[in-house]
Amino acid sequence: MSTFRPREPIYLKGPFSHLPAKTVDNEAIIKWMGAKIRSSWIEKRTGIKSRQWVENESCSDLALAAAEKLLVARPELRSKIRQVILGTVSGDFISPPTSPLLQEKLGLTDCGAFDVGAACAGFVTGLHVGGSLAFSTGETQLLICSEIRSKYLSPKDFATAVLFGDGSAAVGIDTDPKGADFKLLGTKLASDGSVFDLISIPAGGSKRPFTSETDPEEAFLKMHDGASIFLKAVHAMTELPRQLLTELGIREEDLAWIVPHQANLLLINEIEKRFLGPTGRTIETVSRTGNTSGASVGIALDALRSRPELKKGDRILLASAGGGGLAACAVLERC
Amino acid sequence: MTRDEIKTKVIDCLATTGCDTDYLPEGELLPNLGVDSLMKALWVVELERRFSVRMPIEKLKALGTLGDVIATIESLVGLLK
Repeated sequence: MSTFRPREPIYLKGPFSHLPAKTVDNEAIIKWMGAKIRSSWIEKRTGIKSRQWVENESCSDLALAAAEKLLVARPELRSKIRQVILGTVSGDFISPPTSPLLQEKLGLTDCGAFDVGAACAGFVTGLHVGGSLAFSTGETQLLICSEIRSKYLSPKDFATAVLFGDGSAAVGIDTDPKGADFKLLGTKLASDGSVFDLISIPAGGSKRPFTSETDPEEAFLKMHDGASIFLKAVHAMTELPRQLLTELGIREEDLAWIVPHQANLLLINEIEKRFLGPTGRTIETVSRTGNTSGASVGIALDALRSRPELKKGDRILLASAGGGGLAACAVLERC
Repeated sequence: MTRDEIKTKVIDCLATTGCDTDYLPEGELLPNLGVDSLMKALWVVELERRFSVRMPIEKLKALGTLGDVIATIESLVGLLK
C-alpha cells in the first residue's frame, strides 16, 4: 500500500464536473438492448434511473469541458498550472496518451502532462499523485478525470449495458489556501492483482491486439462474477479507509460526509451502513449518472461542494475501488 | 452461538435480499431458491455485518447451497456445541 500524508497543507480548488448532454433513461436502454424487461427492474437492481452518454465526443472533449469550468471559476489557476494529470482508462487513442492533447486544447504552454489509468479508483488515485507532486514541487497540478464508458458497452451484455455512464471532473491541486474548497489530509492506495480481470476489455491491448479475427464482443467492457466484484469492492472501500483514518488519528464518528465510488446504489448503501448509517450524508449521484468509472468520485464531490449543509471543518471520506483490483481513499477537510 | 441460532440468523439475513420463499432445504442449490449472483452478494455482506465476520472472496463461489452458507458462517464465528 502507498500512503500520502502531506507534511505541509495541500489544497483543492474544485472539483468541477461535466456530464454529456444526452440523457439515456432505463426505457431507452431496454429499447437499445431489445430486452423484454420492465425499466423498474434496472432501477431496483442498480438504483440507476438514467445516465448521460456522449454522442460523438471523445475523452479529451469531456475533460476539456470540466477543466474549462474549473478555469472559468478559478481563473487565477490557468497561469500557474505546471502539470496536467489526466485520469482515464478510455483515452482518445490506445497510443499516444491523451493528456498532451488536452494540454494543447487548454492552451497551456508551460507544463508537463501524463495519463494515469486506475479505472474506478482514478480520481482518488489522481489526488494521491497530484497531491504528492504539489507537495514535492510546490507547483500547481491540474487533475482531470474523464471517462467514456458508453462506447464500450454491448447491447448483448446486460451486466454492463445498464450500469455505465460518461462524465468528467477537474480539480486544481496546490499549496495556496486562497480560494480553496478542500484541504487534503491524506490518501492511500492499494492493489490486489489477483482479481485484475474481473472488469476488463479483453481485446485491443498488446496481449490481444485487434486483428481481422477479433470477436467484436471482445472490444466491449466485460464484468465477470458480479458477486465477487461487489464483495471485493465492499471490503476495499471499508478496510482501506479505516486504515487511513487510523493513521491520520481521525475517528469514524468524526467524519461528516462519505463520497463513495458511484458503482451502483446497492454498493453505496452498503458503504453507508458500514460508516455513517442512514444520515443522508453519504453522497449519491449514481441514480442520474450511472457508473462513470474514474470520474465518479469527482462528480460526486462536486455535488457535495454545492450542498448548503457542507460546513467549514467538515471531514470527508472519499472511497473508491474497481477495475484491476485497485482501491484508493482520501480524507479531506472543507475549507 | 449454536448451529440453530446461526441457521436462524442466516435465513433471517436471506430475507433482506428479497428472497421470499419458505422452501429452504439446506441441500438445494441457491439458484433453485431464487438466489441469483447479486442476491448472494447482498446476503453475504449482510451476514458479514450481522456476524461481524469477513467472508474471504475465494469462498464466495463455493457457496452453492444454504447448507454451505451455514457451514461457512459456522467456521468463521466458531460453534458452541
